[in-house]
Amino acid sequence: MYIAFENINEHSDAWDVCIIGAGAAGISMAVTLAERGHRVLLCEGGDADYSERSQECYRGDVVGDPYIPLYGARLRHLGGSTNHWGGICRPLDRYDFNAKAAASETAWPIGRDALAPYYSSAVTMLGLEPTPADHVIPEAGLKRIYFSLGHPTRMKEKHAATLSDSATLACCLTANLVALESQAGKVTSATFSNYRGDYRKVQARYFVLACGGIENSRLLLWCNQQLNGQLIPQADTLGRYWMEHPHATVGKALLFEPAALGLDEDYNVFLSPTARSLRSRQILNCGLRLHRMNAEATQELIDELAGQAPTLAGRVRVWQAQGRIIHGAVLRAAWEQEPRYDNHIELSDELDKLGVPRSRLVWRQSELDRRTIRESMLLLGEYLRDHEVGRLQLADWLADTPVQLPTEGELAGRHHMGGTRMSLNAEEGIVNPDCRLFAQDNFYVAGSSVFASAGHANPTLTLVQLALRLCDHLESRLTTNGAEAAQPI
Amino acid sequence: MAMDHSRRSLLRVATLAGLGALILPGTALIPAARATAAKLGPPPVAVTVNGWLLNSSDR
Repeated sequence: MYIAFENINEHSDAWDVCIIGAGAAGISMAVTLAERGHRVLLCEGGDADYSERSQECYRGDVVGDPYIPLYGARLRHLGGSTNHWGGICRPLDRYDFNAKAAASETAWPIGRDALAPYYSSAVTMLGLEPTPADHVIPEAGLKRIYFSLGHPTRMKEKHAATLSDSATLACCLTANLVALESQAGKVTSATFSNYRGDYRKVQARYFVLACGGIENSRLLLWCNQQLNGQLIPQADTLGRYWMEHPHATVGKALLFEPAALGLDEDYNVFLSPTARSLRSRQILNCGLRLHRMNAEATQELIDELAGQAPTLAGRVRVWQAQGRIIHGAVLRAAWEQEPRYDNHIELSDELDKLGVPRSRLVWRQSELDRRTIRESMLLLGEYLRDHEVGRLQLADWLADTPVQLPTEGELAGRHHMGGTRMSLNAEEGIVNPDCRLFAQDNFYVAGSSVFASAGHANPTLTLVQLALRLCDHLESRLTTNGAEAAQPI
Repeated sequence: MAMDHSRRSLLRVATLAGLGALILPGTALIPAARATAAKLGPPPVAVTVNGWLLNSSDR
């Protein structure tokens, strides 16, 4: 059910779980826990639909490499960024959870097996299609990979009935977290403000912060500052190891044997280096996407090739005359960014209308980030050439070293990861493998901010897997600690 | 021991095959050797021109 801000129940025994933020992670958890009979308060800072008064809180600064303005890189209303996402999903690779040869900081404290039991339920929660298994392309050092495409589920619509009708779930809009209170290693209450300056102090047995890959860091930095470090005493890594998936158009290819890559009438083929290639080339993970060109663009590409390789272009034209199918393809890529301490969210000096300091993102791509995309493209280009499958042309900015990254265009995927890194100890991260703040017994973080590394796959499926895993953990604690039969709110 | 019919036939085939190997001029094998060599050839020289990953023979 929806409740008005002024009607939030402030009694100490009112809520089993208070979830802060109603995006992909928050709604997944609220719906799941409520369906299991737990009393859930879901607090969303924004309105039911887009509103400038809410979205404006997302303004912030960017320092470093060119990046998408923070204001437009996410949405701040019910459903969060699932209101504009493309629905492209795939789980992380098994080796994404390991320390990679090129950067040992990519290691997670949990493996893919910890998330595998939540794959099917996350697919259902997000309304996705299950993805086929990857398969290795012989002698290529590459594998054909698959994404769930074309199912951009709007979470607030898919779960509208539960949000409005559940007897154990209360959803409150315009409830913005502005402070936390902590005592003896437990968060005792969370203070929310609406846009009129009214306040409500919520008590709950457990709290979950699920405000996204920038806001989770920002709000914890702010709350920890107000509590003089009592919330997160070892806060050296708070906001740190922030990551994106750099995106760019990385080149073109002319394919004489398109079937070797599976390029067919579907147009899109995704490729990725194998684990062995990541090791041998000392790079991180990368997803390459081939978009098939139309016939006219393919002819233009052959003409372009003729300027550099007339003998080959002559052969290609003969093949075409003989009826052989030749495909041109545009290559786009999304690649893994090295988890680096220096890339971080910090608080700016400017306050938003709720009195919370705005975000400042400090973000740069490293030499390893640049090497990852260049070597991934060389891997593909060498395979095409050496096996006479085709020829590849690197984008201008990739052709020379050092690589000069594009300063305009896509830049990145709007995938905000890290900042409240999962780790085995408080020196190296902010949450433990259960996604709980190390210093607080009852405060958890949900979302991609807990990612220890990013792989190359879009993060939503993984963050929902993590959220559903957290539901099981909370369920275990709620039932073990004597709780709560479902009482209507 | 007297040879039966099938053993005699086998011996004849083996003898003829041995003679064939002896009298076959070595030069007869050269074209095949050359064909194989042409197939393997020298490894193509990789070149990068204007961003294209090419073989030198493409040019």
